[in-house]
Amino acid sequence: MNKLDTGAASTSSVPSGKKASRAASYWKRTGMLHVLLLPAVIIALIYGYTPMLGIVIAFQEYEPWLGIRNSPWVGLEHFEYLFNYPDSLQVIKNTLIISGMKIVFQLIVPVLFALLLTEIAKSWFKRAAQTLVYLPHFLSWVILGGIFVDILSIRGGLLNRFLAVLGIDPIFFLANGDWFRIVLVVSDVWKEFGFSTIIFLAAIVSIDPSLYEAAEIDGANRWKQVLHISLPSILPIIIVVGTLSLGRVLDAGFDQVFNLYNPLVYEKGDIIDTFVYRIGLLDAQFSFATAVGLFKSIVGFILIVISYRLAYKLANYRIF
Amino acid sequence: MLKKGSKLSLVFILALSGVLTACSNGGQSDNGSSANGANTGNSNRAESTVLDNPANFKFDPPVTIRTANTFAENQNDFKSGESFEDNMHTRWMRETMGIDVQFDFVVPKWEDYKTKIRLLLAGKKRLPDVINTQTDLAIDLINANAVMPLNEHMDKYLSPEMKALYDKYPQAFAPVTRDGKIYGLPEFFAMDEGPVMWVRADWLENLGMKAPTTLDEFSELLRAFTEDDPDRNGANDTVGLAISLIDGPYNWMATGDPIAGMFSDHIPVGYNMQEFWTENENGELEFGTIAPEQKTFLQQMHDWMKAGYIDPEAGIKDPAKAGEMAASGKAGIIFGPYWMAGWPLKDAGGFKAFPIPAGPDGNVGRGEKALVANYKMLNKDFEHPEAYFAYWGKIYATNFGESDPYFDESIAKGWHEGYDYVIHDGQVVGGKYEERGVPEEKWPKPGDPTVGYSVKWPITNTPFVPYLIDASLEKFNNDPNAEINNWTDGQVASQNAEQLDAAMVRISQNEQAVFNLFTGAPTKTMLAKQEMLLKLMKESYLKIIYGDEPIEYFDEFVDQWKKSGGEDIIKEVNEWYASSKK
Repeated sequence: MNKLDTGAASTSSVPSGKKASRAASYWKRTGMLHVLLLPAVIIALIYGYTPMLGIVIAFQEYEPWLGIRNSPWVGLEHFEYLFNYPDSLQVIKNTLIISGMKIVFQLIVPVLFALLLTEIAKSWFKRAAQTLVYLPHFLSWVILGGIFVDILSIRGGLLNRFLAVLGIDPIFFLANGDWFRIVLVVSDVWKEFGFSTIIFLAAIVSIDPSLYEAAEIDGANRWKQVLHISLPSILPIIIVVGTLSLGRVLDAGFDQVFNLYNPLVYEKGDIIDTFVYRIGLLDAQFSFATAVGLFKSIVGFILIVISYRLAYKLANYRIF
Repeated sequence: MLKKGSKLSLVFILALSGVLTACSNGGQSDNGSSANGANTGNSNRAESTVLDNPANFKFDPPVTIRTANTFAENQNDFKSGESFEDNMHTRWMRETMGIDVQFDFVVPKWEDYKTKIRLLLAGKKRLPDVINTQTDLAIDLINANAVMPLNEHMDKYLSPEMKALYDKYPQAFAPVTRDGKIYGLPEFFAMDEGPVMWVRADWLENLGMKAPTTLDEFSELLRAFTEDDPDRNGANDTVGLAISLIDGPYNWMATGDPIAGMFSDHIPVGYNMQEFWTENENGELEFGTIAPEQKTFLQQMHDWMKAGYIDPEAGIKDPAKAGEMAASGKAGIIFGPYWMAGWPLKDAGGFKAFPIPAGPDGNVGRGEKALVANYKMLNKDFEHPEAYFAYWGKIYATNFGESDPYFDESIAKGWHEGYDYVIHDGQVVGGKYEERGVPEEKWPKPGDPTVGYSVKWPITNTPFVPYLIDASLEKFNNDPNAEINNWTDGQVASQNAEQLDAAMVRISQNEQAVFNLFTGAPTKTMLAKQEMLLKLMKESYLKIIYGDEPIEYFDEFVDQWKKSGGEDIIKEVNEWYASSKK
């Protein structure tokens, strides 16, 4: 009894000597595992965390030849500049609109596609379709940019020829701000939805088949089954994917915009990343670019925390 | 326990060995260079190697020059087995001069190069011995105290001819001079890039029209090329003008400055704030983009765009894309340099060069490219500046001839036999090998008589002397079989008849060239606000041309431009101008 008692109470009232020996035995058991972990920790520290110290240049007037140590401190000047810069608000607005539309459609389209695909009986077709829609994910925007410029050309572009057949006047997609945003969203969804579909397909596959069997016995048709079984079953995943993508709301897709935009659509198509590229890299205003980057990270961080809470609340989903 | 310990230490040894090898590598290269320094470090000896025998110097033991450069390889740049780092020219440098070139890095794009150098600078890493710079990077390097002043070496090693050339263009040194010390060697453009008007001569014939010489004729021709089916294919698929407007109306090809030049002495530039500054009637420098006359130019462009005479996609096309459009037979007119007959207009139908038409008041103008391509700077720890100057002297001497002490007879007419020229019947042949009856086995690339291998300069630019090429162009235009007397001749000899013809058109309008007068270092506000102001300009110009905004918007744009830092830039530029005139 005594022995047992000590064991049960060990967490609260063990003599320190015993605690130490417990720690020693813990280390004895897991020491090697920790050593194995060490390289990963070191790499994360060196490449993940140390560079973050560079954030300090957001508060300096950084000059490469002075280095971080000797560059003068300027406080929040770059942040003030950011919000007084005539283009800043427009650029932030563009980013939110483009990215918001992308998030919404990037959620709806893959879910619909996954639901439709599971309804197809022929498995060879299923597999082929899945592979085909998945392929564009691997193409780079440098290549796609060139292709889209040709397809959307107002002089003999594929799409405008098609519109001409329907009797619609040619549209200059890449020169009109509103159309440009639509082009960005549609082409991004086309490129990426196959990739997101995989997650939802996996979720649908893991639904207990007995639910469908029961529904069938109760006389539910396919449509009812989708509505009352498939959709509710994958709803938690939809919410998780959706809320987590909120954290990336300020990333509207640098590669894509950079390869498609032009002065005619700056007003509605210029996003934070392209803006930072022009100011920060082309003009070598490193401090200002870092300040914008830091601003983006802070907003992103807040959104990730919020979306994580939401995911937990709505879908009972936890990572940690 | 012991076993475990040894396992552990093994892990550490493995992990550390990577670090150690890296260290020892670094150590070795340091040792290497200092050993080199010790061997030839006796600067008097190295100096006399060059000065005693400038035409045929050879460093023994060889000296190493570490450099970094931008290079993007194209087809037929090198014979098989050769590369930018190792080719006929680098071997020749090693074998005849005792100069061993090593590359710290080679990147395809200038932006990447600039970023890499800035990173080396920020990380306090060793920079290459020879650094390629443009003014903005040059300022960083001077500020960082990373490059050496060159005055002494220039006095000692430059040939009298080279000194005379530099004396002719003192403004070239302004951006890289501080407190009387010169930190960079300017490298010039050939100054042969001024645009001509390329017109489809076959379309002119189809329509029974003549090349335009006035704005009205030009306008009428644009209309006819757009509406009258000039290619006689029965389809309404042509436009008058191919032009690139994505970066503003002034470009290296498919440019609009000759059109602006009909209305204004000021050239609107889109991509670089240091260009294009011209003097106004008050003797002050004025920025071309906001000059009031641009309003007329933009109005005209808008009218043409509205009428469909200009490629509607001009606003999203870069110069290469606009050139492609002309080459594809969909546009009848394009403005650009004389060499366009080689690319992209080669085999593109009947493009022929004509002089730029005159505007309503008889105004003709074209924007001339900058004089200086870039600056070469030397790392302040570079041990063999004399080797760099010796090589520099030798390749430039080919322009100046026998009077130059560095003049080397063996490279007088071309650089490397079997590469950029061949000897046939005792004559130097620098191109058109088939026409000149050179047997195929002697062609630089057997099987393709159009290929020659020009030198891909490892530590310098092409050693151009401004305007020198015009004499060669004239000579070969008069007689395609003229004798090659220097390497510029060799270069020109390989050009096709259309290019030579266009060059003559260009030379005939040399008087009309408009030059940028701001040759100082980029000013403080320029560096900070450049991108924003350029963006404002590109956006406003395109909006007016496309009719998204009325022409009155131009005044609003100028206001906005001045308020957003332009006013300060104008002030800074004019302060520089006033001080430079003293």
